[in-house]
Amino acid sequence: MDHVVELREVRKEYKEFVLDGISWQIPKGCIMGLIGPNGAGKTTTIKIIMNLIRADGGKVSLFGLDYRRNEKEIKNRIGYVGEEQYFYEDRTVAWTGRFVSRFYRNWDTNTFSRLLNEFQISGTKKVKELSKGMRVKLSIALALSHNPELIILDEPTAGLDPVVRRELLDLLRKISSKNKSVIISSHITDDIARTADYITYLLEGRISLIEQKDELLSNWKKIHFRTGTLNNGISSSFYNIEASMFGNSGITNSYLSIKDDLAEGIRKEDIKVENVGLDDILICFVKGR
Amino acid sequence: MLTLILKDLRRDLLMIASFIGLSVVTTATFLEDPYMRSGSSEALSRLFMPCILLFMLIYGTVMHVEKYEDKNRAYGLLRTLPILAREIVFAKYLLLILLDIAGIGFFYLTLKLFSIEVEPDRLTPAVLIIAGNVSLVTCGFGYAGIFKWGFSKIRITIYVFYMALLVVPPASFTLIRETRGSAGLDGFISSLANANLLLVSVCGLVLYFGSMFLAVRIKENEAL
Repeated sequence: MDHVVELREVRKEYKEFVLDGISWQIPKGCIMGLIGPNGAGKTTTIKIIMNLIRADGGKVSLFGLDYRRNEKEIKNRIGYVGEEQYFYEDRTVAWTGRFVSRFYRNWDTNTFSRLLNEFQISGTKKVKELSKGMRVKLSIALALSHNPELIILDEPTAGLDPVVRRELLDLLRKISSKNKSVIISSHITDDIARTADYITYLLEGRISLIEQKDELLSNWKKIHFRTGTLNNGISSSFYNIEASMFGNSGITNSYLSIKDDLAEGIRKEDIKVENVGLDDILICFVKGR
Repeated sequence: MLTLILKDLRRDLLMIASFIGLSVVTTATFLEDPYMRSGSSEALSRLFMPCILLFMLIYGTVMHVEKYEDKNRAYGLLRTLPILAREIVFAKYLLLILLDIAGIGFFYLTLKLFSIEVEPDRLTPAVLIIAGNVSLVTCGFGYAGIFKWGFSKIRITIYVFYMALLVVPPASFTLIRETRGSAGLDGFISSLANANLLLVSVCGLVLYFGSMFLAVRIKENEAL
């Protein structure tokens, strides 16, 4: 499988935080969701991928190229939407487009104009007059107008209202259907659940899990069971066991492999299986077993 | 890189135009003052104002451009674009050197245009080139400081430093006159006029480009 991004043993050390030997690969044409609590290292990882900060060790390669010799080539193939949008505030949207266009080899003015129309952003408006949502949309329009192969979005939906968020997520799905790869980091796991094909959980500077979203959600289930109905071997592997109205409940990360055991010798009314969200899985990682 | 230079230049057009206007007015009025002191110090007095204006043009450009970049956190945008950190730095330094050369030429021509003659003849280009070099080198290191610590953090330091620099030349002339008399000042003027301009320019440029490479290193290692 072709990988657009490949991190090998990437390390970055700060006074109070260490990104500890991250190895990560992003397959071509997929949407990779990056999830983690505050301070887990999501933005640091993305900034290393964007070469906005230098890793202390390890190897970063994008499209099979490294930044030392191919920074311009790599950045020509990336569209980036950061956590905060930096623009020349007293300039117009159209000026911003013209300015940014001069740096890209494949800039398409028609695409930029079409996206501005689609997002209902007037080219004559000054950037400082744009709302938070409009700024994100402008940033996305700038990121998409040079036909990038990889789009990186760091918390793009933070501070957006639900309508704009949904529009943005729909747009991302549309983009990925054109064989482009997307990395999206967000606190709002619901957004990731809607868009991503793969999920990466980052915790305290380490990758805890990388899995296809559908497989992940098939394997992670919340099991409600009456006390004494499950053998200890199964229940001891559960995360976050707690008493509930039903008896007990816990979350498993290996539902598909214990499914048959659960069905054997346990009455249907003594057990209830429930889907979990990406949030629940994150909490399991944070709290541990 | 040209895009960045043009952006900064366009941003500064109004300021540069104001400087040109101010320079012409100053040269036409102040320097033509018939009551100016005569003797050896007259030559330096006549050249002092163009040097100050040249200095302020270069220094003003750095402060004006960087204040704007800092306000918009523009490096945050630029570093995400397909442009190398060293190209961003080169663009800044290239603009300064172009302005410096244009400034020296402009003030030289203005002095000629208003027939402001100073003796000896070589003193005018010598003083302008020395002032141009001092402006470039100090602004070059100023840029390196801005890239290292950020504009807002060292803005006041740079202001104080440059204000102090404005006081140094007149204070030096006064000191020479007080300690060595008019003959000492004449000797100083003569040595200025006879300075090896090529050597002065080369030394200035070496220091300037040295500060530029320092700035490149700082910018390349900068974390956003």
